Amino acid sequence: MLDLGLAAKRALVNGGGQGLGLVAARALASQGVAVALVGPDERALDRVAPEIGALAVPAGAGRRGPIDGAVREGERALGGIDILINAAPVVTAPAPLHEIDDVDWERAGAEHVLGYLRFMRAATPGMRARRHGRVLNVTGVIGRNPDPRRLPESTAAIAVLNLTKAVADELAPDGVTVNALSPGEFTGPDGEGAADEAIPAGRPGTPGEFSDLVLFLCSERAAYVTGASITVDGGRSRGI
Amino acid sequence: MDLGIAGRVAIVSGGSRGIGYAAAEVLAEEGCHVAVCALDPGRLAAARSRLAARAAPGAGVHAGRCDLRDAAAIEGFVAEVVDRFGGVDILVNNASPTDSPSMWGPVLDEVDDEEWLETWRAKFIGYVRFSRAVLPHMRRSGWGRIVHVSGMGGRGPNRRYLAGGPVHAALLALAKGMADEYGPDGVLVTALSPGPIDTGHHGVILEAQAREAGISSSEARDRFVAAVPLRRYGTPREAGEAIAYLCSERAGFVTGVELLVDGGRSRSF
Repeated sequence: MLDLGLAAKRALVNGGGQGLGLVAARALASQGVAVALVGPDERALDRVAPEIGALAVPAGAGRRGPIDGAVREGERALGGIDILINAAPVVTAPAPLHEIDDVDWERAGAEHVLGYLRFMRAATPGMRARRHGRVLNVTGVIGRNPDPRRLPESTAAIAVLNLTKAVADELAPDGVTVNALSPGEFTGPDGEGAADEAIPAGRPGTPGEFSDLVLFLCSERAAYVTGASITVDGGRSRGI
Repeated sequence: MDLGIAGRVAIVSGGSRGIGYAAAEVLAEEGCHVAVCALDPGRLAAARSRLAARAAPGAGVHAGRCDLRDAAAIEGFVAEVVDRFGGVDILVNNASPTDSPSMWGPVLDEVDDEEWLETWRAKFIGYVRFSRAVLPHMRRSGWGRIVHVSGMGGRGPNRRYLAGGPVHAALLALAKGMADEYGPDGVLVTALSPGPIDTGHHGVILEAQAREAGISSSEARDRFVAAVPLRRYGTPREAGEAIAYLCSERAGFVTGVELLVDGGRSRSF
């Protein structure tokens, strides 16, 4: 049995109130990690946090003040942050470029790319001081496989991959790893995915198939993995 | 090689100098009607005269001031070009706030959020706005070329390039996604990433690298050049010619790709 060495670690999950952020948070909690969930929807956070024994920290999307405040509150409540999961990619309504308003392009940059940067900037000084830390930036697989009808999301996603590598170089000397995860399609917490021929694996992934990778990358076993962007999509992405 | 684009109408943003000017010059020599926009009126006037002197017979030259942060100004500039030349066939998205020292330098702890957003808005959203403004004309005629001039930092992330790098990467995805969307309308969209081109603004980066390494600027330059397989900087003209190729009839089956003009410097493939 692989010892992940995660017990007694402390994690802040941006976007932990729902979706794959919540999946990651639940998995970390199951390994004995103390977890704080950050998100814009206070009610959603309050609903799920007790389920997994986590702390709920509401913070508006993409604004600096609330992000710095949420990270400070998380650090205070947990006694420090060892693991940062950024799992709040921007979502915009599908449309071709000529029908997309500037507001969506602005949100893609400000909330997704700069938002992740702000969380990293706020949460990593403590990690560097302790010479240990893990950062995971979760972003859509459409970064490497741009979707012509979801260009704000696609362009922001690849920008996050670029940022991930750049920040990984900055933090590596201090024992802090920074990686990106690009998940494809996953089923909800209960649902079995319908068969899907477009996916070489023939089906969407299950939450556990996502969170196992999260746990590995956050663990002591992955100390030499940094600056990587890893796709977990059942083989769906085209290209290499 | 005849590029086959005489009489086409081309817009080059940031066309008053550097790579943008060089692209405009090659397109004008090839007989395109060329419209350049930039911010500095003096440089624009100089570029207009030089372009008029180089343009093939019958090729018109237009120059106008346009701020990429202003959506209405971009639409207004495109409308002027359509009024004067009857349409738009080619867009070279090139204007960039790269003169700003803030583009290069700040590491994670030092990023200024407003400057970061300014880069995203002025370059990335500026390219989106220009694309949006010209697309109806290209789709109507069933022929178009859009080249997003990106940069080395897109595929080669750097810890001191936390705004420019992500923006350049975003432009690669923009080119690919637009190529898929507008290919059926005959609009081809590519990215061109210039490597070390001798335009002057690379000096800012060299000086920063020299300071960090505690060496002179000329030593920093020598080190930099030693990592370029061709052992020199490229010229703006070399980037301009590659851009003109992508805009041409000769590149009729080339879309969605990134062309590197970097003397072999990129380490990824």
